[in-house]
Amino acid sequence: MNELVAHPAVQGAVIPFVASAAAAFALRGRALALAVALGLAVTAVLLLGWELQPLTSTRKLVLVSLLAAVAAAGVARLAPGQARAAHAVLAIAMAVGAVWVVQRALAQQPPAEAAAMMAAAAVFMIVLLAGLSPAQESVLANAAVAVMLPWAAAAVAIQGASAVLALLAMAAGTAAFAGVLYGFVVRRRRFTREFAYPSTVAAALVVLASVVMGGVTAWALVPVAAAPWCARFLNRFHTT
Amino acid sequence: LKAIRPFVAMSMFVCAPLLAAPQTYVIDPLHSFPNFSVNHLDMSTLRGRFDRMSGKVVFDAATKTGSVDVKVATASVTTGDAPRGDGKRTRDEHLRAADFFNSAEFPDMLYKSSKLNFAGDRLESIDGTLTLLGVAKPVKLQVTHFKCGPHPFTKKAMCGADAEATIKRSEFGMKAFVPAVSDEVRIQIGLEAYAE
Repeated sequence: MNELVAHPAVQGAVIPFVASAAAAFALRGRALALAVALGLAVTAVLLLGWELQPLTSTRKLVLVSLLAAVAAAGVARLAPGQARAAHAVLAIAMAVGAVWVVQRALAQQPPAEAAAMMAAAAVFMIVLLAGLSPAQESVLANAAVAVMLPWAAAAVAIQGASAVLALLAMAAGTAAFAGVLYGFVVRRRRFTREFAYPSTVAAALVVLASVVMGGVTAWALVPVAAAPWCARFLNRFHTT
Repeated sequence: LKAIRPFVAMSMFVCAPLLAAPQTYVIDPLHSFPNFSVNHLDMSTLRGRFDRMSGKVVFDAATKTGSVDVKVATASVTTGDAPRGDGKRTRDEHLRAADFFNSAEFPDMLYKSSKLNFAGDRLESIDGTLTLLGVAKPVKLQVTHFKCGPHPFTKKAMCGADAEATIKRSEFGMKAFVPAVSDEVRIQIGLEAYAE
């Protein structure tokens, strides 16, 4: 049994899928972001344990992603007018979270380089989250981003030489996939931007950590930040 | 003259420990390396080492006391699979990444001690604290060889030692791939240091 649970394919795909699908079923399709968060959390516990010490970038990354899920679930309950402002606050909070995740690694670099990278990390997160579509008809675009972006981030993490980051990204994408599948099966496609938040934030942080700590080129941030905008644009083109 | 001989002898006996001040030895990075070995897939033993170690050892032979203060650069880890230039990530790069030594966030591993344990004249063990990935835990080094004396060619005062310990890497937060890559890590340190 232990061997099975320790297998990377089980940790990165099977377990988050089952956990997220079960949570989506239990929540009856409401607050799907929490179901995605559960899938990611289970994999994180298997990989990193329950301890928060040492508070490495990997553990910070998981914490910020889970916080994003809880905050997004809360924002989804707000009225549209309030939600807009809340999303802006949430994006800024995630930008601060992104800086926090890579802060210790950047502290080892020359101050000017570190400051530039911190600014880039914050801008990257804000641009990325602003790309998630608020429109109801764009639910497929958000679903595609929620699933595909983490899987792409897993490939970037492998380039950055971290299998743990890759497994976390894969788990986030797979958990989102379970949520999407549930939505299609029960015909409740509530793939709002709140649903996309946890896996998108996790993917963004994995890519950011791979750039700062894994030697991946900083240019990798550009297509990741552009992905939601592209999905949104393509979805609009499709519906018109 | 015969009358003062006992006094001279006594004063030498009393003053000798006071005159023998603790000597500081600086680690010779060319002849000092921490090596480690882990079990891989329960199949074989994989060995590696850190190429950069620095620090100081203070030793007082008369009082049999001293201290150790060592710093190891985690990015200098090597297991014989260095970058090959083909774009593929190597094992050494993986060891430096967040999964293991996380050198981007924790560039140094530290070992500090102020308790050297002697059995008679022989240095038997060192009780110290290992700080790895920001987590400090007590680690006892068993000393298998220890010698101080002049360098055979330059005659400069030096000390050398071999020491070993076994730690559980998960206790320092390094949990990736346990048990495929064993939790228990055997550490063997060979060290030479010259008087400051």
